[in-house]
Amino acid sequence: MIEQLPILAQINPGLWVILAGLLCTTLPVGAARKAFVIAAPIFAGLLIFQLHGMDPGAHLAGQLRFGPVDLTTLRIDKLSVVWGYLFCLAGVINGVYALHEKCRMTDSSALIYTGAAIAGVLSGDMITLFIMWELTAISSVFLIWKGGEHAYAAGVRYLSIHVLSGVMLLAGAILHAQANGGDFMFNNIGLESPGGWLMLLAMGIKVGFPGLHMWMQDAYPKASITGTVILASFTTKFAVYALARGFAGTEILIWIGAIMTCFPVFFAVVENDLRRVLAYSLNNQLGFMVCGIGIGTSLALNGVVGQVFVHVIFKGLLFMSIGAVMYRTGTAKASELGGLFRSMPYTTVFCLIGAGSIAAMPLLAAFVTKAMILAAAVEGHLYIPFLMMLFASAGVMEHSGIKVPHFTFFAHDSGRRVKEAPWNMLAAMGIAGFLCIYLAWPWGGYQTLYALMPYDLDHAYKPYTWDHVVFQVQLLFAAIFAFTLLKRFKLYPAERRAEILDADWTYRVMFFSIARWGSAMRSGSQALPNLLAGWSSVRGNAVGTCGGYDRWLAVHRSLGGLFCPIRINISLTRSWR
Amino acid sequence: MIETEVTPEAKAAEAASDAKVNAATNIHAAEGIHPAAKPFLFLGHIKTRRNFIWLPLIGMIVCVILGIMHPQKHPLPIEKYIPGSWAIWGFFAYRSDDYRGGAS
Repeated sequence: MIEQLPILAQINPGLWVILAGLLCTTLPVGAARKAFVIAAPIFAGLLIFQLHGMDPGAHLAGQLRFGPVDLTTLRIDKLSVVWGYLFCLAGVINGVYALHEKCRMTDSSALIYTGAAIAGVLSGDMITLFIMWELTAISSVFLIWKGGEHAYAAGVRYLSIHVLSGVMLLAGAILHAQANGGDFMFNNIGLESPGGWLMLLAMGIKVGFPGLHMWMQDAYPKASITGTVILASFTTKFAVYALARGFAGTEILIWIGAIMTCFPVFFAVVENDLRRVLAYSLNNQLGFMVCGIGIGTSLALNGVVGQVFVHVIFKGLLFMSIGAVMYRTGTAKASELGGLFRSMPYTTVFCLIGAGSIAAMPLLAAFVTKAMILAAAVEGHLYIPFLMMLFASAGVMEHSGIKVPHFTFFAHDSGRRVKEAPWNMLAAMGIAGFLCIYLAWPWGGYQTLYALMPYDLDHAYKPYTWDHVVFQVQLLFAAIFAFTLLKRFKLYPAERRAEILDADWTYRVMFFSIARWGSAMRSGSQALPNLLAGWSSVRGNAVGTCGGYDRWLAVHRSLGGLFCPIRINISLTRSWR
Repeated sequence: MIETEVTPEAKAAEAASDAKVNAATNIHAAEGIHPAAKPFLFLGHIKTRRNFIWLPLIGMIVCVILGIMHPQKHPLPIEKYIPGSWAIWGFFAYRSDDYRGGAS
C-alpha cells in the first residue's frame, strides 16, 4: 500500500481516522457511517503495521517547520506502536458495539476522538501532542452530552478540566523547550525544569492523580451507553502513554500510583451506580500503571505496557456488559438490578470474564501483566507500595470482580425479564472476552503480548509458576470469602443512592459557592447595602426571643435579602453544578 | 371508527406471530427466561446462595495449605513466617469500617 502511495508514510495514520470522522458529520446514510466507523481504525492499524515493518527502530516522518519550531508529526517506535495498535483495536470493538445506535453525532465524535488519540500517541513532538490532547477533549465531550440533559453540566466540567490540562501541557512544553535550546521533540522530560512539573500536572489531570481524578467519576457514568465505553478506552491511556514517554523512572510516581490504587476502593464499595463503580475501578487500575512507570525498570515498564493493553479490553468489556444491561433495563443502579442472569446469560458470562480479568484471576487477562508490576516493586525492594498494590488487588476483586456481576446478574431477583443484548453488543463483548482469555493463555497466548513489549525481555517474567498461581488464588478466594461473609451477616454497607462527591466537592460546592457569592456581590451596585442590611437583619432576628424553628426561619428570611443579587447570577453559573 | 370482530383465525394468526417474535428474540414466552440460562437456574435458589460461602472458604483453606507446602520463592521479609499471608491480606483488604460517617 505504501509503495504505491509514498505520501502515506508521511501522514500520521490517526489523521485518516479524524478525516473519516469529519466526513461522517455530513453523511446522512447510517450504514455508510457505520462502515467508516469500522473501516477507518482498521485502515489506520494496517498503516501502522506497514510503517513499523518498514522501520522497526523508529519511523520519524511528517516533519514540518513553523517559524522557529520544528515538528515531527509522526513517530512510530517500539513504545508508541503498542498504543497505536491498541487504539485501532479498541476503535473497531467500540464501533461494533455501537452499530445499533443510529446517531451521526456519536459516530463522528467517536471517530474524531479515536483518531486524535491515535495521532496523539504517534506524534513525535510536544506541539502535535498538545493539539491532539485538546482534540480528544473537545471531540469526546459530545459523547458525554449525548447522555441526556443531566449530563450537560458534567460535560461542561469535563471540558473545562481537560482544556485546562491542555493549556498546562502547552505551557509546560514551551518552558521545557526553552530550557532545552528550543527542542520540542517529545522524549524524556523529567522534573528538572518548571516545565516538567507543569507537564506532569497536566498529565496527572488526564490520568486521574489523586485529587485530580474527579472528572472521571463525574462524566463517565453520565455519558451515553456507547459513549462511556468509548470514553473509557482512550483518554486515560493516552495520558499513561505520555507519562511512560516523558516520566519513566520518576520516583514520585511510585507513591502517587500506589495511592491511586487504594483510595478508589473505598468509594467503589458504597457506590450504587455501577458505571461509577467501574469508573472508580478504572482509577484504581491506572494506579498500577502510574506506579509501574515510576518504578521504571524494564520489567515494570513492560508490565505497564501489557497492563494498558489488557486493561482497555477488559475494562471495555465490563463497561459494555453494564451498558448492555442499561440498554435493556434503563438503569445501572445496583439497587434496581439483580437476577439478570436468567434473561441475559451471554452478557453475564462476558461480564464474569471481564470481572475475572480485572481481578487478575489465573488464565484471565491481568494475571500476567499486574504480576509483572508487583514483581518489579518487590525487585526494587519497594515493600510498602507492593503491599498497597496487593491491598488494591483484593479491593478491585471485591468491587469490580464481585460487586458488579453480583448485584447485576445474581443477588436478589429484581423480577426484570428482558431480552438478551443486541447481536452487535454481544459480538463486541465476544471479541473482548476472547482477547481477555487469549492474552493470558499459557500456551502461546501471553507470549503474543510479550512480543509487543518494547523493553528488554532477556529475563522474561514467567507468570505461571506454582507459587504465583497459589498465592494469587489465596488472595482472590479470601476476598470473595470476606464479601460473602459480610453479606451473610448483613454487614455489607448499603449503597448510597445519592451522588457521592469526593475531591470534586472543592469545586462543585465550595468554589462554586464562593464564586457565586463573589459574583453576586460584585455585580450589583446594591451589593454592599444588601450585605449590610442583610447582616443587621440577621443580627436583629438572631437576638430575638422567638424559639427554635421560628428563629431559624427568621434568619433564613433575612438571609434571603442578603443573597438577593445571587438569584440574578444563578442562571449564569448554573451550568457548572 | 369501524369495529371488526376478532375471528378465531385472526386470533390464531396473532398467536403464531407472537410465537415468531418470541422465537426471534430467544425469550421463553411463559417465564421470560432465556433458554441458555435454564440449566443455571439453580444459581438463583436460596439454598445455593446460602451455601455459596463454603466455596471460597474451602478454596481459601486449600490454597493456604498448598502455600505452606510450596512457599513462595521470593517472599517479602514480613511474609516469610506467616502461613497464608496473601489470604490474610485478601481477607482484611476489604473491611466493614463505617467510613461513611454513619450515613446510609
